[in-house]
Amino acid sequence: MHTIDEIIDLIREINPLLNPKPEEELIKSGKLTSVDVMSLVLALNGNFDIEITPLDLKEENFRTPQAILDMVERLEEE
Amino acid sequence: MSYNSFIYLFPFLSVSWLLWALAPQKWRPGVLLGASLVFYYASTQRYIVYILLAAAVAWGIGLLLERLNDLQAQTRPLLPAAERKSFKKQVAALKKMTVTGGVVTMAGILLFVKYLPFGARVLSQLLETLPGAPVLTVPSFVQPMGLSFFTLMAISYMVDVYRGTCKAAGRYWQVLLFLSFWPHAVEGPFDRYGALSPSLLDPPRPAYRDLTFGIQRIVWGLFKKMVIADRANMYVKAVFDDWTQYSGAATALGVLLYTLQLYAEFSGCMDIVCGSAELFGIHPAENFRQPFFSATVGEFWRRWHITLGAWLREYVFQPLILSKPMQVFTSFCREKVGPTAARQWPVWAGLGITWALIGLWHGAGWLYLLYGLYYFALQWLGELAEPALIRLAPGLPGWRKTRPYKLFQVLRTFLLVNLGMLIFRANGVWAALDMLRRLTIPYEGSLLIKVDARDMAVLAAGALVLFLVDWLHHRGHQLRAELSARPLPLRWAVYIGAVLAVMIFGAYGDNYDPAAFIYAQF
Amino acid sequence: MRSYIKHILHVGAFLLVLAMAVFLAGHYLMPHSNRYLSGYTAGGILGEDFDTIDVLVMGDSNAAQGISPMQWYCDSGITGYTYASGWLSVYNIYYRLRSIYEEQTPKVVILCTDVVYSRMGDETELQAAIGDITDELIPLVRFHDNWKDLTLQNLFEEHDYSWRDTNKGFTPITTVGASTRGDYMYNDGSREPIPALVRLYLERIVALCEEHDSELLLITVPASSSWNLARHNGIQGFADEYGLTYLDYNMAGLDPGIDWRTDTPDGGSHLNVLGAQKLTAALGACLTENYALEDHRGQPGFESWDKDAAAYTEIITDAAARNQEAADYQISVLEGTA
Repeated sequence: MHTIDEIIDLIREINPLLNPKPEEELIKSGKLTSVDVMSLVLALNGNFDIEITPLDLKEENFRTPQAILDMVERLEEE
Repeated sequence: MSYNSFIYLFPFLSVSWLLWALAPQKWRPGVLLGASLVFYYASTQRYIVYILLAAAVAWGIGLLLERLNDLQAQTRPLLPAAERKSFKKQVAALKKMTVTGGVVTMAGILLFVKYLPFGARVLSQLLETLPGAPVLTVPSFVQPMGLSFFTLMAISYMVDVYRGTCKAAGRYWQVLLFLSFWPHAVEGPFDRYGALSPSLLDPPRPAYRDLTFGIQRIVWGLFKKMVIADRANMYVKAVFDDWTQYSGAATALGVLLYTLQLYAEFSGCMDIVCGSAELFGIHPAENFRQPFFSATVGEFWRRWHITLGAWLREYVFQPLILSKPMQVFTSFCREKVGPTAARQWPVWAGLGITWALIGLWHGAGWLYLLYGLYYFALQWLGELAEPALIRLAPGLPGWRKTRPYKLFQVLRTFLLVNLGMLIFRANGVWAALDMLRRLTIPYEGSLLIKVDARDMAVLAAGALVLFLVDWLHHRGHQLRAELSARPLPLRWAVYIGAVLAVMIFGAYGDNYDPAAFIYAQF
Repeated sequence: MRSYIKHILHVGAFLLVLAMAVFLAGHYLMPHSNRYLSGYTAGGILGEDFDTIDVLVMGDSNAAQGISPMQWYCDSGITGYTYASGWLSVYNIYYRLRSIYEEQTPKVVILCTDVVYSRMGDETELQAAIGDITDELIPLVRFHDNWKDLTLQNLFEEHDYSWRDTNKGFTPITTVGASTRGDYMYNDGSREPIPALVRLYLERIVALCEEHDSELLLITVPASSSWNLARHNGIQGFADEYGLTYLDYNMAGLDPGIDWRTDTPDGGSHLNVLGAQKLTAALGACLTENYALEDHRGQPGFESWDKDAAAYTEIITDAAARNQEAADYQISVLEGTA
């Protein structure tokens, strides 16, 4: 099991100015650009034993830190 | 058939619309297909085979993928549990091979027809350094109209079916209609099959509002193209084709006018095509969202030629970073350098490749590669400099929220975009560099180059009107709807005024050189 | 159903108002003097008194520089006018002829067939036709660029279409640029067909002349750089079909004595004064022999013509002298004795 803080820490590595709450809007608000999202994906792939594919690059999977956590846990099961 | 020609605007559009409106509902897509093929054939004659072929490939691949899906759904429940996973893997591998084959074929057509001479040139230049190198001659092909658009749209169709984003089209004519639909056949926008096909294949009823709003949008597009863009073209052509005769303010004005010309023309063309489609209740994707109000160069490219950036992001940038070669590179970075590099360097590499492709999509030449890499350099350096900037000026994040800073950002972006436009329009890499140098040499002559004072006044007035309309859109106004709520004399005065403005101030007739649509050559 | 009718009426009313606005704008943008209504001095025909022109020449720049009607008046009292402007097409000519017929009743209409095969730029035939016909039908499209010359004053002035041209549509050119083309009417067995839309409008011109009891004469002004036998054959075919007389002054049998070293200012595209004098004389002889045309010299109502004749004689003598100088120089250059 992973915690939401692991996700938030990764986001903060990518953009130190951010400190999002678990349900904070990330994409539509522009806090994470598409370049940031790809950096995050690489970090997620590296830190957790998962493989994010282009099919997973949907807005609903990255909308909030909680959504990211949900996606990571789902991918770990496969 | 040019979008601003008499033939297109009057006989073609009105006959197509009448046939479409009077036809029974299930024949309406057929009318659209017929009109699209007439339009395409009238412009390209026998080169229509390319688009027919592309549609066939895309349709075939789509059907194959769907068969594989059906096979999986039917067979899987019948298998014992132990074999299910390996079966799923086999089907997935087959699907991947199918879609890869389709994409490679389509990309191959594009590369072969458009980029073969450039590739041969590059290869020759490299081989020149070796003794006894052969001289490469390659045939150069005629590029059919819209090649760069329909091949990419075909790829997006196949990949979307593969990813399950949209269902495969059952019939060939459906894919052909999607690719050849005349509003996006010449200069885009890049539409997605899933988004556009519902209104193409099951059109809405003819509506008065669609008709009137569509015509209004077409007139607005004609104003931008014929009054602003074609007029600016006279100055721009002189200063860029003969760049060694000009410097300083003359060159600078030429760059500014080119930016104005390109924006007015391309967005005007989008207005004409979106207005044309709107007559039929169809809404192609928007390509522009008031780009000159952008704060950064990155944002600019999300507001300018939106569908090209979106296409490259979704079908090149993202898959590229997640691809096997890039995964190898990522692991390499993680082991040799560190975790930060592992998540940054592959993204930069992917970004560099994507920007290079944006540049090269516009043309097969070093200049266009330079154009793309110019924007990559700006974006990359901006990101690299960010931590250092924050350290030097800790108050920066706060300043960034203030209005004066935002204004500074808009102006800075405007300046950087104009420099990019200089590169884009120049007669080659050396010309671009020379023109940049010549900007510093003062110019001692009249700035009325090929346009007189009155033409300049019209250009200025046109640019002002364009700015005002964009600004109102930026603030969220829906101009056509708001205008239609005003009293009749005011509405009619605006509509008639717009038509007269195009007829009187349009740069057409014996005194002007005809200016072709710029993006139609890509 | 009722909403359809409402919408159609609404749109119809709007289009009506739009059409009125377009024609009003066109009216205000038309030139204020007939001098600028068309290229060269074609517009001057509107300044002539009604029903005084007996021979009307219609053509493009070849005619404007090659045919001088005032010479006919000086020699035999024939009143003629060369209505010619650069790049006029058959479409333009049909509509201009129609409007000229409102004021004049020429007995002979001479059509210079160089217009049939010429086209500006690389538009397609259809584009050229649409452009020219729209120009003729909607004055705003033709004169839209005149907004640059509008001032607040002339917005309220009446148009003044009384300007007259002494040279009656002829523009004397006195420079010389030799043509070295040699034989350009050699037979290669071909016939250049007349484009379909052009032919349609030629037929309309034939019908128009019949309707107004004018005799239509087809000629081709000598032009070594743009005419050939294939085109001659194309026109001859049309002339035979409609029983029209066709005089091709490029053919050896009708050659009025053009010397391509001295009689052209631009290497064979047009004629200068020396060439125009020869062509005009030949045409004039044909007119007096074959058509019953009145000698208007000294008649009441033609005083301005007599006056113009005197002025013209001075102009043309001077122009011919200057042209001859240039011609002599050109010959000396060609013979290496300059």
